[in-house]
Amino acid sequence: MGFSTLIDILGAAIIGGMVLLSVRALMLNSSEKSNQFQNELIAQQNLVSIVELIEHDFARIGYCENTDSIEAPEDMIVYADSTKISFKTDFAQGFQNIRGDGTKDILTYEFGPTITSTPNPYDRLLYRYAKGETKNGSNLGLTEFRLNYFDNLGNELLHPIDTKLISYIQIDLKVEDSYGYDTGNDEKVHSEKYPTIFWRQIRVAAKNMSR
Amino acid sequence: MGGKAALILVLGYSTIILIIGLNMNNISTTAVDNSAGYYENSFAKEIARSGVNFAASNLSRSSSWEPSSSPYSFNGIENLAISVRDSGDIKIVTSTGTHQGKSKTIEVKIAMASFSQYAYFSDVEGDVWWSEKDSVWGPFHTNDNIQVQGHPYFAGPSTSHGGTMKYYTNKTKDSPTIIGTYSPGLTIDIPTDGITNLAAYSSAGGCVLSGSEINVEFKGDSIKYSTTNPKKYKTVLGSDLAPNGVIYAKNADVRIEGTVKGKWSIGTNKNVYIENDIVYADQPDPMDKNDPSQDLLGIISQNNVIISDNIANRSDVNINAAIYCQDGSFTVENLTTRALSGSINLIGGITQKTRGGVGTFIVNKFGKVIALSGFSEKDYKYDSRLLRKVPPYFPSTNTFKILSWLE
Repeated sequence: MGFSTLIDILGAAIIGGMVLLSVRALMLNSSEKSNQFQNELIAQQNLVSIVELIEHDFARIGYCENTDSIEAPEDMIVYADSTKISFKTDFAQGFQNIRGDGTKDILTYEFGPTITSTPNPYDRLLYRYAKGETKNGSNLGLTEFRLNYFDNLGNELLHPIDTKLISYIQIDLKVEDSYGYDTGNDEKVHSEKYPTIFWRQIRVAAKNMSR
Repeated sequence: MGGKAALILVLGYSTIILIIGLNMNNISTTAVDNSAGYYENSFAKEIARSGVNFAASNLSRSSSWEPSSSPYSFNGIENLAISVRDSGDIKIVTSTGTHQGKSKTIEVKIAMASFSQYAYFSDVEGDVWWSEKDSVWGPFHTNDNIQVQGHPYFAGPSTSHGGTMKYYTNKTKDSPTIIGTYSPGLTIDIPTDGITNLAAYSSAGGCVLSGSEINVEFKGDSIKYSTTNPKKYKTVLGSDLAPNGVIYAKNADVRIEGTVKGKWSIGTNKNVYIENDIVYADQPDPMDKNDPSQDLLGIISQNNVIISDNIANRSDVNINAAIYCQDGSFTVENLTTRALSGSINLIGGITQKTRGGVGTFIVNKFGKVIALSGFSEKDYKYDSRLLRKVPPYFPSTNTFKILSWLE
C-alpha cells in the first residue's frame, strides 16, 4: 500500500459518501412527497365522499314517495343560513331501495364545532341528522362549508334568509387533511402542512323544487 | 468487505426508493380513479336525466308513447334504458344511464296537466300592469309579457311567461317577488279543441242541453234546468242527468247559479253567464290542497264567462269554480254602464284568452282611486285543491307536469 493507494481509498470514500448522502437525501425527499401525496389523496377521497352524499341528499329536497304529500316548492326548505340548512325529504329505505316510505322527513346539514383532537386547527365536524335524532357528525377534514342562496331572478338572498324565496343554492366546501405532514415545522405555512381541496357547486336546483 | 457493504447499502437504498416510487404511482392511480369515478357517476346521472327529458318530451307529444327502442345509444353505446308504466292517472318514467360501468337510475312521476291548475292564465295581457297591490296565490302563466310596476307578488308554486318581463321604471324599482318555480320564455298554447272535446264527453255519459235559452241551477244533489223561453224548469238528480259530470249547452248561452255538490263541468260553445252566486256545498279551505271537500266545478266557455248585470249581482258575487274562456275573457255584463256592484269573491282559478275587465275607475287629482262602474274589489283566492284535482274533462294543456323526481 503506497501513498497513492491511500489517496485512492480516501477519494473513493469521499465520493461514496457523497453518493450515499445524495441517495439518502433523495430517499427522504421521496418519502416526504409520498406522504404529501398520500395526504392529498385522503383529502380528495374525503371530499368526494362528502360531495356524493351532499349531491344525493340535495337532489332529494322536497321528494316524497307519496306524491300527494309533496309540499309546494316554497315550503320544501324549512331553515337556511350560511352554515346550516334543513329541508323536507323522504329517506331511502335502504341501499337497494332508494324509494322513500312515503313519510316526509326533515334532514339537516350543519357545520359543527372545531375539532381539537387533530393537529389541524381548522377542521370541523359536518353534522347530518334527521329531525328528532341526535346530531351525527363525521370528521372528514372539512374546514369550510358555506351556503349561499339565490331567488328566481338570480339575486343573492340576504340574511336572515326567507326560505320561501330560495330557488338556487350555491355550496362551497373546503377539505383539508386533518393530520397533515411535518406539522411541527414552523418554516412551512398552513397550506403546505395540510393539503387543501376546494369544491364549489354553483346553483344547485333541486328538481322537486323546480318541477 | 467494504465493496460488499457499499453494494448492500446501494441496493438497500434503491429498494426503498423503488418502493416509495411504486407507492407514489399507486397514489396517483388511486387519485385519478377517484376523480374518474366521480366523473363517471356524474356522466351516468346526466345520461339518465337526458332520458327523463327525452321521455317527457315524447309523452307530451303523444301520451301513449312507449320507449320501444330502449336501450338507446349515447355516444354509440347502448347505455340509456327507459321504461314508462301507468299507475292510475300517473305515468312513472324510469331512466337508467350507464357510463364506464357506473349506472344511475332516476324515477319521475308525471301527470297530464290541466288548465284548471292555474290561478291565473292568459294568452294576451294587453296593456295591463301588475302593480304593487297585486298578488297571485297559485300557479301563474301568461303567453304575453308580464308588465310590472312596483313589487307585485307571485306566490307560485310556479310562475311562467312566454314574453318578457317588462319593468315600469327599471328592474331595481319594479322587480316582482316570485316564489316557487320561475320559467321565463315558456309558451303554453290554449288548445282549439277544448270545447269540442267537452262536447264529445257530454255526448258520452254526460248531458247535452239545447234550446233557445238555457238556465241551469245547481241545487245540491239535484239540478234544476230550463231550455225554453219562457222558462219551464225541470229538477232531476244530478247523477241521473249527467253521470260523468259534464253538462254542455249546445249552440246557446248558458246561465248558471246555485250550490254545487260533487264534481261538475258545465260549458258551451257560446257564452256562460253567472246569474247569481255559484258556490260549493262544502266550502274548502283555499289554502289547504288536501281539503276533504269533494265539490269541484269547471266553467268552460268557447267565448266569455260573464257576470250578469242583474239585481242579484249588484252587491257582491261569490264564485267557486275553475273558469276557462277559450277565445274570450272572464268579464262582466255592461262593464262601463252597470252600477257599482261590490266585490267578486272567487275561490278557484281563471284561464282566459284575453284579460277582461270587471270594473272601471279613475284616479283623482289627490291620487285616490274612485270606482265608476262594476266591481271595485276583487277577492280572488286560489283553490289549492286544483293543484291535483281536476273538474271532469276540463281542457288539458297537453303537457305533462312533474309530480316527483327521485334520484
